[in-house]
Amino acid sequence: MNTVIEARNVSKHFLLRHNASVELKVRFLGLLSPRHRQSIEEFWALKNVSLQIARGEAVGLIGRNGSGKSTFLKLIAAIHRPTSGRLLVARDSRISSMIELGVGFHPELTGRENVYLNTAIHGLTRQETDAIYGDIVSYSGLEHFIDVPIKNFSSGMYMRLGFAIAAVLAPDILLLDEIFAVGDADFQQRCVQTIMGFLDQGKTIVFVSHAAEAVRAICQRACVLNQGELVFDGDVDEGLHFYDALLHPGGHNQAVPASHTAAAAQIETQPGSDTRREDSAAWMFDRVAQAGLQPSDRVLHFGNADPATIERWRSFLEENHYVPLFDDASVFGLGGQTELFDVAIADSVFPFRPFNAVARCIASVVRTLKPNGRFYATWFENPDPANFEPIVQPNGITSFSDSEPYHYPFGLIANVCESVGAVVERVPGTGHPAGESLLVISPRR
Amino acid sequence: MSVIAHDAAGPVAAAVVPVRPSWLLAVSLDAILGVSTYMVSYWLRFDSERLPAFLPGAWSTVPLVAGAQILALVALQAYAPRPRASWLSRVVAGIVLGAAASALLLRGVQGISRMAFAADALLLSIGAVGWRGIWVLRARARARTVTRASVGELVDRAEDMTLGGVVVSLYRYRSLLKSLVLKDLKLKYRGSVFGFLWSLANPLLMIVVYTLAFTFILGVRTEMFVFYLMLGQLSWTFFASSTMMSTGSIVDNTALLRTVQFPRAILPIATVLFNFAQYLLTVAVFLPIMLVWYRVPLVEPMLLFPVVLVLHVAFTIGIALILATATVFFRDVRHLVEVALAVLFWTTPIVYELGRVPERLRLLILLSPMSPFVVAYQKLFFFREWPDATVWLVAVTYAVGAFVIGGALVLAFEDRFTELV
Repeated sequence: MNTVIEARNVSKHFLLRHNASVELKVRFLGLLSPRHRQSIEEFWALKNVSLQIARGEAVGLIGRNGSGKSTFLKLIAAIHRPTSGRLLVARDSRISSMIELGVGFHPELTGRENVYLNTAIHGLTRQETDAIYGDIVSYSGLEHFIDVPIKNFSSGMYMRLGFAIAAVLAPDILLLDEIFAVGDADFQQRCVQTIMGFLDQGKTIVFVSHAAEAVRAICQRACVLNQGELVFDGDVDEGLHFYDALLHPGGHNQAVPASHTAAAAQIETQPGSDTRREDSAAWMFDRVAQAGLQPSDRVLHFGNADPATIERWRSFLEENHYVPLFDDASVFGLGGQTELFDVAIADSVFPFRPFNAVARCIASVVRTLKPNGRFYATWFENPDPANFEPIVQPNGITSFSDSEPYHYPFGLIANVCESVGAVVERVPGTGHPAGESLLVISPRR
Repeated sequence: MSVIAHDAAGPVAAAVVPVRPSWLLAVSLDAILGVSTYMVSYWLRFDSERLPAFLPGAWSTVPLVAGAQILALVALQAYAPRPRASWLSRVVAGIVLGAAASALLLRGVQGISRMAFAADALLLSIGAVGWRGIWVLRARARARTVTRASVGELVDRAEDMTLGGVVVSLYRYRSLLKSLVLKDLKLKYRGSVFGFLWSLANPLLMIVVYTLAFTFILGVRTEMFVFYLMLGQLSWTFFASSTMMSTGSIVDNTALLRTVQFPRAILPIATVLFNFAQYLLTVAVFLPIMLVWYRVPLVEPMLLFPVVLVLHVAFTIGIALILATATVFFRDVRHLVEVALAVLFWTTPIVYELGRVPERLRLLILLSPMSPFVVAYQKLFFFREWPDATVWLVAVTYAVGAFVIGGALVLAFEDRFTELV
């Protein structure tokens, strides 16, 4: 095996400084009063991870938030250094990371100047950049704008330029971190094409994502991380199943299964964990129809719906008035949608996204709603904002404040809505059998 | 298709504890350094003529002073085999305490210079911290070459940072350095009508103000005062703006640090070089004008200008590296630097001459960080003489000391920057 990346017992440990301050004043105060004292908590982002990746492999790193995926990627990119163990990379291999696109761009500089600055940051000399400059520009499709200061770029153009640089740098190893979370549909398609191209050329790809479909499409191998430990390494489908089982084990702090058989047994005890979500989609259709859905309404739908429900929406609404967005990226941006919507619905989105994603989702949906539009979303209620305990919902699902399925306090969502110029209400009498209830968010008039 | 089983044992934190020198070696190095810096301090203080009169005093007190310093270092556990994180500050504290204690003990004794104690503490601190920095880096580099041998085709990219490796990687990233400097220059003048002229306006204005204040209000009558002032003011502006900007050079680039791997030292160095480029431009404009205006004859010492420039830049880069690193850990550094610069401006012979400072204070003024460089510029162009050996000694010590300590600091802490900014 021609190994290009090898992790030998890699551990990474961060110090979480509570009460942390880089101000001297607070440090002196800490000497006197315990209230200002800094307490340090150790946090192992990765524990004894050993892994070998061969040339030409495409490996998907999956795991819930905070499981150490991104940390591992940053270790490969040498942005962090392992606390113990060694992370080795093939000599002279060029690593390009799409961890964040367009980092280091300076708004006052033109596109051209930014290209040269950015490639220099990645270690290229001016001559090397001269050689690939044309490719970058044509790849980004920004020939007309390349001499314009990029403060005048739209965010899409910004992304395109960043992606073009990362793509044309022609890396031997490509590190991708959730890049499908940004950009419009066109941009995402380009991403996928480029990545497929890399695969054909036998480049090595390490891909971090929550999106099962994307992992399935790109990777031949999946590694599941849970709380910093590598708990599964192998086939993609099995890995995704394993991950699913981790996510919905019925109990929060269940120990990680120590053997394959245990994991398999667990998958069997969780038959079709998606049925609950599909069920929720149909239920939402009924609710929204009851609330006075008109066939002439334009509807934006994202979440996890089953084909039958999608068909119900399609047949009810006029042609082209139903826009379903079922991939992970849809939560973050609604690029390409030029017309405004009357109704947006999110089924099983709020409980399955971290709060920053929920907030972004609300913000971008509210922007694409007509002034009298409505946005329906399912949600697990947490009656008490100070309550971080798991709550058993009426149908037996346990929701959490810090892992999926999440419960967020109503006040928190109300604050987000307020700040983006919308109001949120509970839809009365909508106790969903799956334990979710329905929120309606509408732009403030 | 495997599920990985874990043994119960948690990860072993084989933290990178730098190998410390044995205490015997450390003590003897410190002692040798202590004796020599004390004697050098006397030489700096009394220069040539009066030195013989004070030498016996110096010789008789040197065991006491060096001994007190070593004792203080021992008391502060600077030689402990596994000292705490505050290792370096303990070294400095020990040296200063030792010097202060011996100054107290020797109070009232004739033929002893108190100034020399201050100079001794300062020089010894630079020396002691400097050799420790080099030691730690060498030890780390050696540890790595040992492990590297077994690895073969795979390399650890996080570990490119040996002393030699730094020079290589800085050279490899020279185009980044150039891009960063050019970016800052472009941004500075983009969109402004007068562009580069603004860089001339600021020092010009300062010179006008000081000239008015000193010649017309205070009535100082020095020949070619404007020329004298300009030499100090321009080099001071370079130093002051470099240090001010360098404090933010790492902490203000969080996004870059978190996504791209490159030698972090490049950021403060680019800041200094950006200011240096402006300094050179202003010098290139003002110096010829002044030389022609005052009909200053060109003399041989002026050939040393590039040497002073190199020392000056090396010193500024060293200070910038130290400040940039310190700011990561304490954001207060920014404000401290502002205050310190306001004080240092007046302890540097810019608006006054070093030769007019009362004789007993002269050493203190010479030891003010920017003084040796400013004095050297003034010697070359204003007095048209070779700078004194004392000036050279302080200038070289400062430049090399700051550069080594700054470089060692960045290298020792740079893998923690990403987590801390």
